[in-house]
Amino acid sequence: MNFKRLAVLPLLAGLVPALIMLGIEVARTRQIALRVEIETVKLLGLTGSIIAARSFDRGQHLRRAWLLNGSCYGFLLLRDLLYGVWIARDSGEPSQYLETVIVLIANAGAVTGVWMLSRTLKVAGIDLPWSPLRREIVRWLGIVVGLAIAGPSLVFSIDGAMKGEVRAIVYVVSSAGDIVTLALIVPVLLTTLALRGGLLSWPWGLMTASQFGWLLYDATGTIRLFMHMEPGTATMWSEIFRALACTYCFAAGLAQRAVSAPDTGAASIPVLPKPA
Amino acid sequence: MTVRDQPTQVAETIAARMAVYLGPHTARIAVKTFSQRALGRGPDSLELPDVPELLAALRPMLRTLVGHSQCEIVLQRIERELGL
Repeated sequence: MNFKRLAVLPLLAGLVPALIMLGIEVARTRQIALRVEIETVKLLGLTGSIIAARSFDRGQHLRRAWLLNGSCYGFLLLRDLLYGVWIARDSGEPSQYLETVIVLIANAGAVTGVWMLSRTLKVAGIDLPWSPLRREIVRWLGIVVGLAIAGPSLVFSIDGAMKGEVRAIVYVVSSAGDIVTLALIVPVLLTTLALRGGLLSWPWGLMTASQFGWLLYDATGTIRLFMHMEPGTATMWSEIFRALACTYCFAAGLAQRAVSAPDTGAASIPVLPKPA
Repeated sequence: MTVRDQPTQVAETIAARMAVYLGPHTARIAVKTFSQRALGRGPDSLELPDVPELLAALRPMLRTLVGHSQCEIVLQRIERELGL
């Protein structure tokens, strides 16, 4: 598999929302095209996670991690399907609470999945090649970045959530999940750095890129809270970053499969000379 | 690392094969860590008779990172390269 090509393809996918937003003038058509694009990239994120999970046996750490990561995409797709086809958001409280529950489950899956990914080297029995102090510093750096990016939307929504506004509860749940997930980018990045020079650095690097995509997606929402940004421009940027996040997850899944599949990659590796 | 701490060629062969997947740095750390855990000695004293025990110790780690099939291929290649 050509890993470099795999790393470039999501960038092309990231252009699609821009082309839709800038190229389609009729609002309704643009809306439909964007919705199709959003569901497609979420489906790719789910597919990539399942492909990666299937590289591992039942019960293995990374199989569970990838499946949990994919469950987030799965539940968000379910939510979109339910509310796009069958249920109207304003059809009453039960439907609104159902959305909250689905978003909560999706976020729990994403957080747990990324947390498990971040612990992989520890589970494998290998220490990260940095001192505990340095690791602690970068971990806190991740938490600060997570708070800075997803914290404001949490603060803005918490009042409404306390009053029982369902939409605000969804935002609070989503933002809290984002803070934890963003904080976990750092350990995933450290794992990628530890594996640099090896084939495994490809799936891990691509997964890190996916997490950075989500970071930028959330950052767009936060910037909107503080700066004036045309709604169309904000939507375009957030959809570009969502597309990058989802398709990098897909690419990571394919890369993991390529590294883990029997004889793939290993076939081209020369046999080393015997020791004297 | 002093001259005395230099890994043996057996240790280097194992690390080189795993480096294809784990990268050179983590591969060396893995050999050192699991050699200490399984044999109670560092890679500077690793010899051919130690290899089966070390590979058995490395198996869960490799399975976690590359999956069962690729793990067995890597271990078989190491054994072949070491003439076992």
